[in-house]
Amino acid sequence: MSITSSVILSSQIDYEVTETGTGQDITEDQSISVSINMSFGTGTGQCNAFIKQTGNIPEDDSILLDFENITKNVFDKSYSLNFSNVKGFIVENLGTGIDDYISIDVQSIPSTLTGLFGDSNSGGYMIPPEGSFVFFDYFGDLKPASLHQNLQLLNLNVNDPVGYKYTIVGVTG
Amino acid sequence: MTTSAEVILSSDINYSVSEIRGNNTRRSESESIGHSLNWSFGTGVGQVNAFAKFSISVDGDEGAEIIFTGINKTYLGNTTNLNFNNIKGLIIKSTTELTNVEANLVKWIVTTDSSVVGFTIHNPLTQMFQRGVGTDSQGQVVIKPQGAFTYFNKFGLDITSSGNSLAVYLDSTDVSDQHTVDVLVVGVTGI
Repeated sequence: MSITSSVILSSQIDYEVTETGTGQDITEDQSISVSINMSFGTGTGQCNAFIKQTGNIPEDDSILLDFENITKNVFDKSYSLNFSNVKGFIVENLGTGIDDYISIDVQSIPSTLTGLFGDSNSGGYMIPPEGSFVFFDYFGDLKPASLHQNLQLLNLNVNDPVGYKYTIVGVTG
Repeated sequence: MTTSAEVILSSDINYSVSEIRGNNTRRSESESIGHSLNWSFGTGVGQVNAFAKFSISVDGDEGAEIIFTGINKTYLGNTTNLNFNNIKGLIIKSTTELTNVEANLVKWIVTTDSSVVGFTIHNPLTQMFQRGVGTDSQGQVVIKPQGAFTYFNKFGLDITSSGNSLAVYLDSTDVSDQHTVDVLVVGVTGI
């Protein structure tokens, strides 16, 4: 048996502004991009577990991500992924309305995942409509443990559900 | 005078896995988030009229403040001051090289929380981290080596006199060298 993989984690903002009609054309082009490549395995810069999920969070409700027990469906069968560390994590907010915020946080939930939100291990990040939250960790220091494995995605729209997508890559086993 | 702009914001994790068992069994899986936004010039939803890219240099175990009402922008030898009414796109990138053996000791934190930074954040931009009305609005997000903190908001995050800054903090007592983060911000000025 052989397994190979290619994983690319990326994020970028690029802008190009052009001003004309003043006797001289002026253009400004700038970008900042991040791109990390990982291969198959369990070492630094490697992953052996991958999952992408899509769903909806009901209005004024939340879902819990348990990094030690994430169900993955393959060919009509499901199995559980138990991440021992997380090397890439992205959540996209599919909501488009001005009230469609998703809070990704570790407040007031049991067995909080530590290491993502700094030393206080509290707080959260507001994902705006059509926005995303990204976390890339080449070295894999974000390590869920039995008492620190949960994140919460909270829909702050009290009237409508909001859609989401997430992808996690990391190491199991 | 006519001004036009194209702004592309994207984030993704793209993975492709292949497994070969024996002579006849082959499984493969490819997935991508493919998150990408395209914005234009203006002041409306999904539009921006102000742009800046700069770097911040910070010593070990110290912090620096990004004040969105006073960002110096140098262009062709001239310096202007940008006063953002709102920000719509922000990326803060760790420039720590992965080949550096000490890289795994370097951790940046983007925060509004003065208690962990150890220096005053004058007017923290709490809405970025606010969970909801009446709850703790202090926040921190970790940036690992070659990673990034991103914020994409087509409606814009309002900058006010009481909420106009973020802090970037190098959270490592093991690294005494000076490190740099790159910052790019787009948003709206002049309204």
